[in-house]
Formats: sequence, C-alpha cells, structure tokens
Amino acid sequence: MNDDERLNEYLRRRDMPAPSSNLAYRITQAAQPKTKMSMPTSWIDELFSAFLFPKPAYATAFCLIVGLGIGLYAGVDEVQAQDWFSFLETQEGEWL
Amino acid sequence: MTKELENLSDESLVERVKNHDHQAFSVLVARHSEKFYFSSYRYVMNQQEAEDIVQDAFLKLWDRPEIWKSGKGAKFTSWFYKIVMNLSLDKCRKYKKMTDVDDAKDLQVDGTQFEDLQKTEEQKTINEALKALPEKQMIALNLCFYEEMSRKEAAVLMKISVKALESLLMRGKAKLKDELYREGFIAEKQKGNVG
Repeated sequence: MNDDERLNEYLRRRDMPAPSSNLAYRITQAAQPKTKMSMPTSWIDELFSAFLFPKPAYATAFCLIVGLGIGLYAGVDEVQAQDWFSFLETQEGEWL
Repeated sequence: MTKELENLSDESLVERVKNHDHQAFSVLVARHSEKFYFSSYRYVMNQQEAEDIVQDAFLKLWDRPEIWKSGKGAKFTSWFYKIVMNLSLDKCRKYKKMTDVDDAKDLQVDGTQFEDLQKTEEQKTINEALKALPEKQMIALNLCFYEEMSRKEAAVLMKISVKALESLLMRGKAKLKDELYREGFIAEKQKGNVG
C-alpha cells in the first residue's frame, strides 16, 4: 500500500459521531411556530377573531349608537327635572 | 399526501416551501438533515455545533425560501451545501473552534483495548491534521474526498479553476501525510514517496 492509498484509508476510517436521532424532528418543529408567528398573535387580534366580526370598527360604532339611542329613549319619560338637581348636587350640599 | 411529496424532487419540494408548505419542508429535512450534518461536522468537528448549523440552514430556507433561485439546472443539494459550508466556516472563524476537536472518544480508555486506543489516537491525529490545514485546502479535500464531487463540480463551487483545485488537493494531502508521518502513522520509507 503506498502512502496515497494509506492516507485515503485513514481519511475513510475517520470516525464521525452520528447526529441525534431526533435532528430532523427538531428542525421541523423549530419551523412550526414560525408558521404561527406570521398569523396575528396579539390578544386583540385573537379576541376579534373569536367573535368573527367582519368589521370590528363598524361593529363597535354600531353598538355605541344603539346604546345611546336606547339610553335617550328610556330617559325621556323617566328622568324628572328634580332628579337632575339631586344628581348635580354634591354630597356636601353645595351646587356644582 | 406525504407519500406523494416523497416522490418529488428536491427542487420541486423547495418550490412548495416557497408557498409555506410545511409538509414539503419536513420531507426535505428528513431527506437531507443527516447528510448535511456530516458535511458540517467535517468543518466544525463538533456534534452539537454541526447539528445547530444544519438547523440554522434549514430554518433560513424556511424563513426566506425566495433565496432559492430555480432554473438553469440549479441543484438543491449543491446550493444548500454551500449554505451549510459557509455557516460552518463562519463558525470556525468566529470562535476559532479549529482547535476544539470533539474528542469525547479520547476518554473511552478501557486500559486494555490497545487497538481502540490506537484508533482513537489515529482519529485525533487525522482530525487535528485536517483542522490545521488552510481553509481552502480543507474545503477542497472535503468536497472531492467526502462529498465525492467531481473536480469540475468542486472547482465551480469554490469559484476556482480545476488546476487551482488540484493544486490545493495536492498540497493538502502532502500536509496531511507530513502530519501522519510526524505522528508515526506513516513510515519514514513511505513518507519518502510523497509526491
């Protein structure tokens, strides 16, 4: 065996430890959360996605308008002028 | 579905990865992670680091699959080998790990198995001799010997001429032989034949 062949033989016999058995799984798993990272992750996004509001801003504005309307409608007959005075009076008995 | 993916070529799988197909990515990883682990190990010579490098390389592909440019007969394995090799060399340069051989096996001295001990010594000598080589000589040897690339393929990957590659190989081998001679693995008479 000449020195070239001997060197090749040494290089061929070079020992290398096998990779961990779960290397491929580890890599695949490490890539998994990154898929989710591209999705909306803030809690506000998650909240809205739970209710499936097509237009959250319009839905909120609609609720406010309906609430205001109900409030005004209910107050027309029931709120008396003296109720307003007692409401505006402070606990010390002074006027605001 | 996975069965169908397994029959696809690497290049087709990368095209699917571009569309965030995680299953295609998994098939690609299962197919090549071990091969590229060994490729990386030959540079960093440390199991943990080699595994981390392969993981980083695949995650780079997952995060930015558009870096793969198909067409012109581009071969995924050659392209990805370059990524793994560059990451490995970066690691070697950054931490100067060229001296930190993964030599856990050195400790496996049972005291009696002379052959094992000799083999361990031999492994250590080979690894250290390879690490002591200039970077380009080591790359040339790894490509032509371990990756079994043709001279032309290796020269293209290294962006040098075939002649320059052959010169690197010759000098690299001569250095290795010198080292093996110095450590007594090649007899003096044989050393005289080194060309």
